[in-house]
Amino acid sequence: MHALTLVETGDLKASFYTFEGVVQALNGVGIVLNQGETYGLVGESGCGKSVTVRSLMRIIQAPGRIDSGRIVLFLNRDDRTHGIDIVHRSEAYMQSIRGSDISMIFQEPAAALNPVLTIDYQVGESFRFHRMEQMLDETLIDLDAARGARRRFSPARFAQSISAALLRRERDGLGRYAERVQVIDNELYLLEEKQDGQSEGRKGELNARRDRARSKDAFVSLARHFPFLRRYRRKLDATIHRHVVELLTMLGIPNPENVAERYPHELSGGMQQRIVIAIALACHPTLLVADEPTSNLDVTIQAQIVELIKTLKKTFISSVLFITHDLGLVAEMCDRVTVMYAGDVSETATVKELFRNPLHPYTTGLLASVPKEVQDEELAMIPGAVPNLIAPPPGCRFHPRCPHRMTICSLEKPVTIEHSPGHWVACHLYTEKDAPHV
Amino acid sequence: MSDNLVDVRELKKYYPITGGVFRRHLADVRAVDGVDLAVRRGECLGLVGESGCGKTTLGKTLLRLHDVTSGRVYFDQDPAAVEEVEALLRSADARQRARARPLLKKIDLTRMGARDLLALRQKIQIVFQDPTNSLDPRMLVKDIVAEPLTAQHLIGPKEVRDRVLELLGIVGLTADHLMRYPHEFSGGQRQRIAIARALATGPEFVLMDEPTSALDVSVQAQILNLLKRLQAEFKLTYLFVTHHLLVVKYISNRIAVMYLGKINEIGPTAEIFASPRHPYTRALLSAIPVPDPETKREKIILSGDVPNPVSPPTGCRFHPRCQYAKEVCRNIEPVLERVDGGERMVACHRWREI
Repeated sequence: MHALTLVETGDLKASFYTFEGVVQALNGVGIVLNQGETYGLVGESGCGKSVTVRSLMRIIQAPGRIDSGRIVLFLNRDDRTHGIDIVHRSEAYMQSIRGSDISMIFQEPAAALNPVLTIDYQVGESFRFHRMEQMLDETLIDLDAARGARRRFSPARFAQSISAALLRRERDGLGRYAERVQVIDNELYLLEEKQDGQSEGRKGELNARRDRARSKDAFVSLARHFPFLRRYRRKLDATIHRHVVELLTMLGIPNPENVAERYPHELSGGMQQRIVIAIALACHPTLLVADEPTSNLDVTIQAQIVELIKTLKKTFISSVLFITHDLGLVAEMCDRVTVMYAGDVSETATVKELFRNPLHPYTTGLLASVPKEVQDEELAMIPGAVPNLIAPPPGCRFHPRCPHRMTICSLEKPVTIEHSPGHWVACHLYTEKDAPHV
Repeated sequence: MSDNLVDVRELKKYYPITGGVFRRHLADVRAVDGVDLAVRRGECLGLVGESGCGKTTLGKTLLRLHDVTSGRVYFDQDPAAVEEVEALLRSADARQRARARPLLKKIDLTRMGARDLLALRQKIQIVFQDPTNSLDPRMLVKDIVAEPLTAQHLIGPKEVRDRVLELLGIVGLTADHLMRYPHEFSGGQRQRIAIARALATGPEFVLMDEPTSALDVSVQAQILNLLKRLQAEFKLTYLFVTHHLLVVKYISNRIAVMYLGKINEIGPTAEIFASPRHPYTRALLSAIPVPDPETKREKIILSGDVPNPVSPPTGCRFHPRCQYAKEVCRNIEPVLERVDGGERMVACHRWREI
């Protein structure tokens, strides 16, 4: 069966414009992630793996930005041939994707969670942002049922009627917004492939309009400022709370009712990471990006989290992009791996192939420098250190540390070739005719 | 008895929690709670455990960077003298125990006077986890490496430069690096500077407090190989504190596994990796991600988290997470027992059965 592509980046370049100079963090990165696989991204710190996924979510922080390249998402379930290039899409569109279709788990759970908000609120935010219509609908159904049980003329029933009216109004506002946005998105989708001047102009116009569209109903926003009227949100909060507890239970968090009321500092690191995972999974994303989710956790807790992600992969989410510097975790978790070095993709292959038959000298060195289960001889090491990316080495960025370097390595950037089916490598050793046999 | 360079007896370190208007003493964080440990001359003892288990605190109290709550640390002392004092302390007679006190002042690192301590400090050094924080950003490399020498008045100002150059050469740096500041170096080079500084006074014992966990994989291998070479060259004794089990396996002769302020299991590296006895050690070893996709291992996933060291569980501290826990584990605290007359010691009630 041919695997369906989910995300594809091509020649992606991103830089950080700092006072010391331009840090060329990504130097033409191309990765292809297929539907249903766990894809690993390995490399040392500063190799650009985090920047790659941050560009994928378009959350690179200033002074960084994406310079060129494309990031194509194939999220449409019916039409797999056309993707959406998100590099030039509007911020509003990105917000509708983030957390809903693609979500991310960050490295440091303590920093990812807001210390002054309860877990309930923080997990519920995903529902508030992406599933508000569903939440409102459910609340209305509950409210109508409760109202039917009351006496015809009672103050409680009157209050409930006001709440229901406001909820309905908010629901209608959201519905109108969704329709308007759908029209814009559809037109943009059709324009996706066109490159001429006229369509480019239209695209810019549509993206700007997408950003301007407001989802809030003016009357409801006003009503929220009055203490009595504001009470209508309590029912809604109860609905969201129910969903939060359901989600936490599903993730195997003990005592979810209690945990939901706490603040992040009251939980242990492992539990915090579970909450971050819960936030990421709230809207059943197609792709889960995990940026070193276990590197700050202890070994036994790491095992728990890895096990959790593995089970979730089977039940909840279709694809995982797993970033790590731990080759052991890669061997355990991933189907395919990309090894990155200094903003370049060195090698891509299936896990077994990569560990058994590494082609790129950097991959070979990396694999040899990790202590193994059985380690009798001295550890091999890669001499030198990761280069400064303000002035990266010319040609292949690995050549100053490479044991097999040739003259061409410092002159030309190697092209990525498919050495054997499914095994891609970017190294002059495999493209030059007179290269020594390795 | 074999030749112990460091001999730790019943070491305890509690951090008080105070509160209220008068800073009343409320409770203690029992970071290290009764540890007996001996580091043999010339070996590398790996100390592993999860964060918060007290491994760093143990290391630092051992160097008297923190004062102990109770317990004794004998560094490079005559075993006969140590045994004599210990026998006095064990005796039931209060007068006998009182006699031990002046003796302890001479040989116990935790009670020693300033002058004796200063002399001992030459022989004990430490390399910290994060070289970015352990090197003063406003000092030149030549001053950083020379500081232990000048602080101890070991050599005259004229010879300092030569000695610093020699030390930098040992760790693989050159004279070009003398007049630079720490921020000009990469992480691996900074750790090399920290190692050079630790070696300056010609120590016998170096405490390695997670020296490679802030470094990248390829650089970690360089530092590990350097440490191994130095150990052989200068006949150093290491206490290697880390949470990275494969690193410990690579570098140490013996391993001590800590859990919540106590040592659970201690023994030769190969033996522990081949057949861990304590249930916690088993879970810990099975949880290591192995960098080889072809081997699939049965993992023991522990439930729950490490308990709060303010109020550790009664009996065996591991029992709430242990799948083999029985009534006896809840009530009685296990002590380290020798396994099959070998070198290995384990603190578990049920190690024979499981």
